[in-house]
Amino acid sequence: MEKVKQMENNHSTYPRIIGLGTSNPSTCYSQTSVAEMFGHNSPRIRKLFENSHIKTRYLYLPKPDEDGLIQQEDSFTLQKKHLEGTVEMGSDAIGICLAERGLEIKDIDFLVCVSSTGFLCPGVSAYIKKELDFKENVRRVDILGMGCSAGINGLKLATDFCSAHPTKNALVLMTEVCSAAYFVDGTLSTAVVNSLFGDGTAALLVSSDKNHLWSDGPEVIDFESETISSSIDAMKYNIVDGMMSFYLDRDIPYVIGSSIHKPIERILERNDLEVRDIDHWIIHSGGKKVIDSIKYNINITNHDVRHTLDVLRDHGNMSSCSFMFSYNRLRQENIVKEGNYGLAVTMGPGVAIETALLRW
Amino acid sequence: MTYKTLKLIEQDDMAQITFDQPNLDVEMIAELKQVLEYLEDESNSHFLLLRGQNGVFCNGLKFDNIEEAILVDINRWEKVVKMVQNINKLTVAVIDGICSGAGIHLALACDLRIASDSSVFSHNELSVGFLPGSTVMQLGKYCGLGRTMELLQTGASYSAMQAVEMGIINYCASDVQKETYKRINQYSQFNPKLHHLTRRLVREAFEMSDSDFLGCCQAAQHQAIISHQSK
Repeated sequence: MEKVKQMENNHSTYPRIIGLGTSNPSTCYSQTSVAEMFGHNSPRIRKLFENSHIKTRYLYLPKPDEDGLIQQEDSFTLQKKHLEGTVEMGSDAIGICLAERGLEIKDIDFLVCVSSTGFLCPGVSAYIKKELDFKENVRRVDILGMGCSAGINGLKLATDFCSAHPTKNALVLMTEVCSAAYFVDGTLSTAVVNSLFGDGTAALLVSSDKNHLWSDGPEVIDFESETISSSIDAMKYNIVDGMMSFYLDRDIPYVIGSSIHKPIERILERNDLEVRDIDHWIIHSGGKKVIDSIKYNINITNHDVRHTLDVLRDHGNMSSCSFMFSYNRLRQENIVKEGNYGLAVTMGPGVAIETALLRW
Repeated sequence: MTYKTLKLIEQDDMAQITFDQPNLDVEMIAELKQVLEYLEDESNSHFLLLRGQNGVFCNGLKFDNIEEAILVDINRWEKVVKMVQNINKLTVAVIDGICSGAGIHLALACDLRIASDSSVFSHNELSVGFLPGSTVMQLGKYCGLGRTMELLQTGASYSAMQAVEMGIINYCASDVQKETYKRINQYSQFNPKLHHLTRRLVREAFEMSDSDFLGCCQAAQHQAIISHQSK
């Protein structure tokens, strides 16, 4: 029997995503050129780069030496790169985001910064506040160490803030300089990481202002999480020779795949929806195998993951901000209609699966 | 639940939808969507048979207002076809008589097509004034580009035997009922989950490159193993 959906758009109390800006480093690299610059001569590693679904990535890479090779950057240089990249891409993305609504920095009351590709103290939000001259009493939160799933955690904080303060604006900055966490040791496991991650930033504006319409952006109506603690070591940073080296277990796609339905079933059931009621899937571009596994486990189509795959192809995995690049492509398609539902899904260390239900 | 345009019978592990009218109109498309949602969510049947009556399986789409139909209803129709294609049952089109236009489209969405010897097929969309929609894509996969071009552009009718020869249907027989149960028996011995995964892989094999397909195979294989372990 067809369900009668509660259409509350005209009386909404849910916060909306009303603006988005994205940014990348200025230089785009092909997979082949990155493999060459890292000096990967092993056929297995070359194949890993060249046969990947990923075609290009935007990266902050140092200038190659006279032999065309990049030398391993030390931890100080990597940390500096993380900070500089964060501020550069962050400023750019925030500017684009606010311009969409004709707002200025002074209009932002709450700033959430998400990043897991470098450790800063003071945190990213302090540097962004200083660089862009946010007002003195801007409320700030930094989310660190939650990896690729953290964008939805940031969105949750922003929507909570806007629900409590309906006249105020919140900004979520997801900024990842994955090239500041590169560790090159010639092994296959580090090559997998170095062939996958790209640099990128997304800034997201959230407001509970009732004057906004469905066409300004979707309401964020619910969240649901799942943490698979038995696989806590499957994705993590190791410290090797004083450097951060990211580790990805080869079974990650199937660990995520076999649990992905749990939070999705819960959030849909709570909102009286079925998988088929979701018009738009905004899924983290974690990697081709992860996406395939999700697709098969929740029975969604290639069309449903088209933006996720395209973002992966053009940018690689940009950690916490990847899913917002997919959301941006959905916006650009101009196919969303009033009353449509969307489900954002991100996955990260923990192993965590985060979901956010959207309605236009 | 009663429907105006179709009947649903469920017995043992089999569900059967019988079309009560020769053409698919707005009401029938809506009721098909309803019944498919019910079967997907609440029915434990493993098999779903689609059939017509009185010498007609389905004679295609029929709309009162063609302009409105093209904008709204054909889109709804395509979604219903997708639902048949993806439903968690093994689907069989049991064709006994006329099968035209969207009727063929619906049959192609099923896992298996069985027709009586006397059944007649034709692609009548152009004669009604619209295009065959995603039949263009589906039919090409079954019988190739050249045949698809000819069949869709001429609307020429063809027999059940010709449909078998072209790969559009799987079997034809004088006793379609008997043939249907004989074929269904071949499927009964396997885990239904494996049928669904195989169906999806087979369809995706025609849509993507070898390297892209490999990931799908691994994901499906993993699902199959989980399904086996949880039995």
